[in-house]
Amino acid sequence: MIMDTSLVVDNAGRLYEGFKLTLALVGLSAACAAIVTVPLVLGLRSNAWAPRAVSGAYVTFFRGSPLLAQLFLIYYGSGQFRPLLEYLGVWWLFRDAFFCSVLAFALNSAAYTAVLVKGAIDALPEGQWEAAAALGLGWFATLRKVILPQAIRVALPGYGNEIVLLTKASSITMAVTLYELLGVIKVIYSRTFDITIYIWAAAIYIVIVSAIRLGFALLERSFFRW
Amino acid sequence: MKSTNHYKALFAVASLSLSVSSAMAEQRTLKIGTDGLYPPFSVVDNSGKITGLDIEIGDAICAKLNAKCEWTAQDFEGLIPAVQNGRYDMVIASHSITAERKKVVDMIKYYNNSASFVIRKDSDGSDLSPAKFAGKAVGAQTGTVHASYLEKNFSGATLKFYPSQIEAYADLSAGRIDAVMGDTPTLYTWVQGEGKDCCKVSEAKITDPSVGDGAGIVIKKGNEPLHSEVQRAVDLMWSDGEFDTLWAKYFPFRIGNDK
Amino acid sequence: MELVGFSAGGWGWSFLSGLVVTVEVAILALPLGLFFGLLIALGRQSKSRLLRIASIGYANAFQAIPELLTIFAIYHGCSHLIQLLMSGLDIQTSWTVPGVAAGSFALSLVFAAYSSEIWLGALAGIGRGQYEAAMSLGLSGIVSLRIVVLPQAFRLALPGLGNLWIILLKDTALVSLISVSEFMREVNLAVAATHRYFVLYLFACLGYIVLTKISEFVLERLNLRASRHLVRAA
Repeated sequence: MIMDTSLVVDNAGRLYEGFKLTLALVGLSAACAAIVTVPLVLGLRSNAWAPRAVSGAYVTFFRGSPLLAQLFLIYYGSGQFRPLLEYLGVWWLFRDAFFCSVLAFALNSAAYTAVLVKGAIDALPEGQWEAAAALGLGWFATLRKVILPQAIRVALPGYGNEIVLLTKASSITMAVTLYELLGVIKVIYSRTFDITIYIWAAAIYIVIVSAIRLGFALLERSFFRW
Repeated sequence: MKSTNHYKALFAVASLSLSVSSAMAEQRTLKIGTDGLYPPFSVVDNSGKITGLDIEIGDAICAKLNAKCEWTAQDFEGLIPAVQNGRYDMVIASHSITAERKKVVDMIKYYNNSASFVIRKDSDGSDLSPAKFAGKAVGAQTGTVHASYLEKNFSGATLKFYPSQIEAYADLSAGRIDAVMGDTPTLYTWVQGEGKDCCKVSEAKITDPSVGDGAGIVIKKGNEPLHSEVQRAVDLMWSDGEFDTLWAKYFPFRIGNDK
Repeated sequence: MELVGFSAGGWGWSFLSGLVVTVEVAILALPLGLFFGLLIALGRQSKSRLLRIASIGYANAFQAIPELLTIFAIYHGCSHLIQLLMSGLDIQTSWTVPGVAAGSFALSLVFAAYSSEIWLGALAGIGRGQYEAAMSLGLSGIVSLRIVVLPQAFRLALPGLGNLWIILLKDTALVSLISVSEFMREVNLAVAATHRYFVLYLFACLGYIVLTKISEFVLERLNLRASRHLVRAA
């Protein structure tokens, strides 16, 4: 198939802007999600019922409903609480569509990542904890030196998938005025009514996702090196 | 589907999911697309019924053509492509008539229109120059002439484009943006209702030719005889005062239809 | 409560019809998604190099392309193609692909890519002996696949397919962006009319959670049923 490259060349600047926004959304969301994941995993693995119930409800909520609905809830929902948010001094954050999107993505992704990490930790035999305790290691030292290095190896492929899903999911922010890569592509389509832009778009996303997968493959290899 | 066309019958069997425009013998049905999130021209109520001024105008046209209007509400941006590929016979959604649009579809003018901004009550609405809005955030609906106008002229402002007018209003009342550009009548309706505490319509209007010459019914290029039939119906509505009567149900001011 | 109720001013009936369309879009995507996914999985195991490359390429591509992009491309692209085809055949028509069909078809293409992974795992879980036994009974390839391999593979695939179903159910919300009157779109319409953003979007989330919880319950039952022969009578 011979495809007209002028569509891409003419819009290269816009596409690059969109690509940068996609990258920023995914990078920042993943970083924030990692932070939220820690207390969530602790909650899910807690012996007390209250933290377990709270983290369980959190996970059910964010994994049980579509990200689009969560994004609308955070962006347009927060607009209704402006006086309260101003009083708390955080309105300037919620005012921003980028912040709201990152917040929605981070909260959502954290729920998936927490389940992943919990699964990886649960998969390790109980004997690991006992052996570490016998060596006189404390709870935190056991987690850091014994459990986490092994759990990360188990969870890494799943985490790579989660980042890919996050990259794909970031394409919905056009609904809240943020035109990332797919948003820019839709704008180009609505100007030109040229279907081939979607084929170019698919190719661009395949390249991005392949790069992420390659990165994680290299990371895995370095973890399994020993 | 009592179609005599063999190809049609064949394809209908082959692809069940495709909808076929059935040629009704008794009364023809005109499939009309509209926005649905554009008060007071088109709104969808809680029973799924589409109502509003554009719908009343369309129904009056259908009555004159002895046809039945079948309305569908969808995203504004997709309406013109939908006419092009035959999803609808026409679209009545207060589309501004521009040279750019007339390249891809035919447009039948049905009322004069103008563009304005809605702004906060305490701000000055007599000057809508780009310099005045430098550093401010201005919103509009995607796919509209307003969005293109802002993009071309307001490079100094932060521009926000929304799937429908409704979301733009939401962000204006929440204080996320400082102004929304749109058609004057719809902005007027909003500041009479939901936006009456915060906002007003600018005194100045945008008269740039790129924002269009009035509102037009969108119809596929060369779709005769429908084009001339609808044109005649519109002319008749203006000459016998029916349009004015419908308009007066929604607005206290009159509007014309200059050729 | 009046807002989401079934009384005159409530949006209950709209939401209910939206939920029905949501489930409809998801269910319509299933048959093709499952079947096509199985074909891709078989293709990935095929002896033909070309078939293998094509199947792996398909699965990787549709796992990389955002669902929303697939939906847009199918929605705009199919109508375009049909128009081209029709004008090529010189037929005057106004056939277009309805949003529900375009959305379901797009989601089924994505579902096929992911389900091929599940099928692949399930097929690998069936011992070689099964194939050999079927062959020694004189069953042809297709027949042994149909009556020996697939019933067992389906049981192995069920948990994974169940997860994909729940993802599919949530992905249907994206179809609202091509104006299909499913649950998310109905909520957006209600929001436009009432401006009750927070309450209504929260309600939307809860609506989907109810759907996913019901699905989990039914899937668990199905799993138990599919593996009941493995449970020993006490």
